[in-house]
Amino acid sequence: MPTTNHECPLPLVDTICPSTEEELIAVLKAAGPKKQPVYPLGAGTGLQMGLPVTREGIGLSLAAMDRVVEYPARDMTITVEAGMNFDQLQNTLRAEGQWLPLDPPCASRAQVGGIVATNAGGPRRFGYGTPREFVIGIRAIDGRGVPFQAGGRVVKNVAGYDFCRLLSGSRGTLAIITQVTWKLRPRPRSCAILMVRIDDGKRAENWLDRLNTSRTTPVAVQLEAGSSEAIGGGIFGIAYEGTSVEVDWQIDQMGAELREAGLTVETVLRDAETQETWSRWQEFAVSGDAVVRFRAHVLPHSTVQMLRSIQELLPTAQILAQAGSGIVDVRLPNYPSDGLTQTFTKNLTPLAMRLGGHLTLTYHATGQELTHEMMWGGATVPWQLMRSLQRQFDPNGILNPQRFISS
Amino acid sequence: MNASQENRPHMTMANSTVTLAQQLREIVGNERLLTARSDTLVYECDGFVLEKDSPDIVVFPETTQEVSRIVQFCHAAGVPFLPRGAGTSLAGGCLPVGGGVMIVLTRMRRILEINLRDRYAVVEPGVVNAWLTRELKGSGFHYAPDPSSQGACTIGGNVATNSGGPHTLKYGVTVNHVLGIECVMSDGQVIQLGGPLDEYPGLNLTGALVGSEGTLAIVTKVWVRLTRDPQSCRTMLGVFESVDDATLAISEMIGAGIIPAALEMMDQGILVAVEQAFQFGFPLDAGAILLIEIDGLDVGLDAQRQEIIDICMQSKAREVRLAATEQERLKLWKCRKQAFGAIGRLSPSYCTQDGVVPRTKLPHILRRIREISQQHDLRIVNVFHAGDGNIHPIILFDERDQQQLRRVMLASNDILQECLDCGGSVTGEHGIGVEKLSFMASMFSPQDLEVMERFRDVWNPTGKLSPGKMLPTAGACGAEQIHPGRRAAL
Repeated sequence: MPTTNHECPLPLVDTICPSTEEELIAVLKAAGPKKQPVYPLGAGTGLQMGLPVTREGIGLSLAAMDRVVEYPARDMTITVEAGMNFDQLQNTLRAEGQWLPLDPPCASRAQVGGIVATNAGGPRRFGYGTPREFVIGIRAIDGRGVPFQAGGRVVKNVAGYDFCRLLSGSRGTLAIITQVTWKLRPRPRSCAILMVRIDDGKRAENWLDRLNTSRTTPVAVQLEAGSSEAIGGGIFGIAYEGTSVEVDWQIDQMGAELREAGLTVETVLRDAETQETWSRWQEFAVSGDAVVRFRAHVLPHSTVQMLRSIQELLPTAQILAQAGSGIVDVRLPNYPSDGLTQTFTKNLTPLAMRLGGHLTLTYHATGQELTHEMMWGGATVPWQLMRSLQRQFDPNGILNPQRFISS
Repeated sequence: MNASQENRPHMTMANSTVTLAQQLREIVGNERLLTARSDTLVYECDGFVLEKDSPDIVVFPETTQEVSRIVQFCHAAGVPFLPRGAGTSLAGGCLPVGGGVMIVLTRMRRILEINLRDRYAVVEPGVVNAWLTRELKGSGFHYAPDPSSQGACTIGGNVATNSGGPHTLKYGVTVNHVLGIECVMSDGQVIQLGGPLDEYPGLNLTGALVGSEGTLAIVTKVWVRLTRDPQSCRTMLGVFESVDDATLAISEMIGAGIIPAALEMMDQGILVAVEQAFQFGFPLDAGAILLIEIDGLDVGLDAQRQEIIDICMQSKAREVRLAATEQERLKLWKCRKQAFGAIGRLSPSYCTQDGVVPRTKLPHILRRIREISQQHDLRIVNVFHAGDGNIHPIILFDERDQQQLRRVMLASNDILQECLDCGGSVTGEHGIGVEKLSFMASMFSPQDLEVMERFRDVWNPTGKLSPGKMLPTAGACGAEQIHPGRRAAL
């Protein structure tokens, strides 16, 4: 069963758990004429993100649609139902020496459909990309109750519009995803994380510039920000995956590159030892006590600058950056004294824009002051066009309304 | 062959066309606009030559603003219009169905920005794929999609068709490398989707626009991802007695979890032509060869190379040769990428298909292609992206022989149908264009197509932008067709 815990921010009158596409179609067809909202829940791990909802509706859980549809391991593809648990999917792949190099938060509970719908990535996105890079086929039911599919089960295919891409990250507003076909990768046999402390922001920035042309190929570059005395600095984690020969070589090479820059490796974690660090990184954005969580996404070379400005403005902020990708995830244990509008709309969002990116509020406990612009603000996004597209898929406006595209 | 052309009085331009030409001339001037029949004839088809139709007007804008104004006039005049890059499409993506205005983007050819630190470049749509590669040479970064036509094809065209290429096996196709797009909508409005970062708020319309074959908007600027150059590579040539053995080796390699940077197959038929053209020293009695390239950290490559050699030898390879020098490697790749050019030595005309099967079905589909070749008494040679399961059977024929032409169509149909029966696709990288319209209904349900139409209608409500492409119009689905005929404008 899905998590419909007390933290669920949606006004649900009921939760329905269809076990077939036909049942799901019936639910949507019934809800449409009544204009009754349908909120896809996934495993409930990503529901905090989105604008506050006022319209009561039905919660939709696909937990009963969790089968492997087809796993031709030698073709390196798998087709699964959207309700499948992500860890369970990875375990199935592990048995064949394969995997999806994705590390979304709450992977032990999260479901495939939710991960695709939110395009939820993690620290490995630097090396491998986000979920949408791996989705090659999709089945879904639109807001009218019409089932459709796009893509297919082969790794290369340009027939028809790429709805795999369109639905990845569409947050349940266009259609309910029921099946996903993934392209797979061989599971790397070895892994290492090097930890390096760089307390000075300027040095951290220089080091990241050098890392961009390192002879090694990290799959993740993380920066755990230090205390506010060491503004802009912190502990870097540089992760490698591959054969043990490749990983060994990269540890040595990176050690040498660090020495050249006058830096030293503090710790090298190997294989099983890396587990704890991976999960700390992976869960950072959703763990800990926070009243506000946000993500600034800027051009990678500006990561440290963004991080420094956040530290200066919000001294209690807890920060983890995916420094290779320009992503700065922030948890605020208390509300900023200046208020949200001042902090975000006036300060941080325009800053993120000046640094070539945008800023998204991923959680806001009370929802007060929150506007569409503040939540998704910053980037030049053709929201009107998106609304028009949404109406084609969901003319009755029942799919996850108010939260994402609709104002 | 050109039914709609005959119905349309081309020789004397209609008054409305003259007016439109005058309006467009005010935007681009005399020298960047063509209306003479002898000039527009050049644009009557692309790499797909079985159907032809001339545009009434060809314009060559140099800026986004010009494209926008041209589109506004076309929109107001209610005429069909479409973009064109270098015209290398093999599926009729640039065929001006119903004439109208062709907007050729090859004069928008500036590389606007290269940002190595943030790993992206911004280019105009007319930038030739290989120019960007050349520009980046020595920088330690490259743009990964490398279609065989990269010396001629434009990045705008690559975006429209979601082009592949040999190295996409490991690095992904165009959609995996496009971060953002600026485009002109069908009413002339200019919008930006995405940008230099890999994620933006809202729907991922960048991804949806890639591969939309010019039916949604006209791309005027592209943000592409730059990829770090691999430290090193090893290139091998596996020589096999038979196609069966070679395809088995491919299947075994992928099954063993090896993802080479590229894995290409050429059969004996094509080898002979390539050898005549380039004198590489291919063994002419071999049944098939595999061109295998692995790349990455130097330290890991020798072990991987040995693993590949072992798999090849277990699959009864005669030998596995190594490209000893960079020159030898480049020559091998030249042979592969220019293989199509060598086909002229085999036959006056040829038709390339572009099917995809799950990789383990390669031995099966290659056997079926042999059977189909015999059944229709046609010679078919093969050179293709084996690692992706993306086949390119090349059917050789003489265009002057109508009877043979009909058999070519039947054989193409049989091959693509077999791909579908194997759980594959009728196009891996060339696109639907006009050529494969009739297959859309076999690949997708009426509901799938209806949802796609609804999606297109938001972007292109009048259907005047790239009409007759990608989606079969309503009512056409049931029609039995041998020749993938042209549809009327929407």
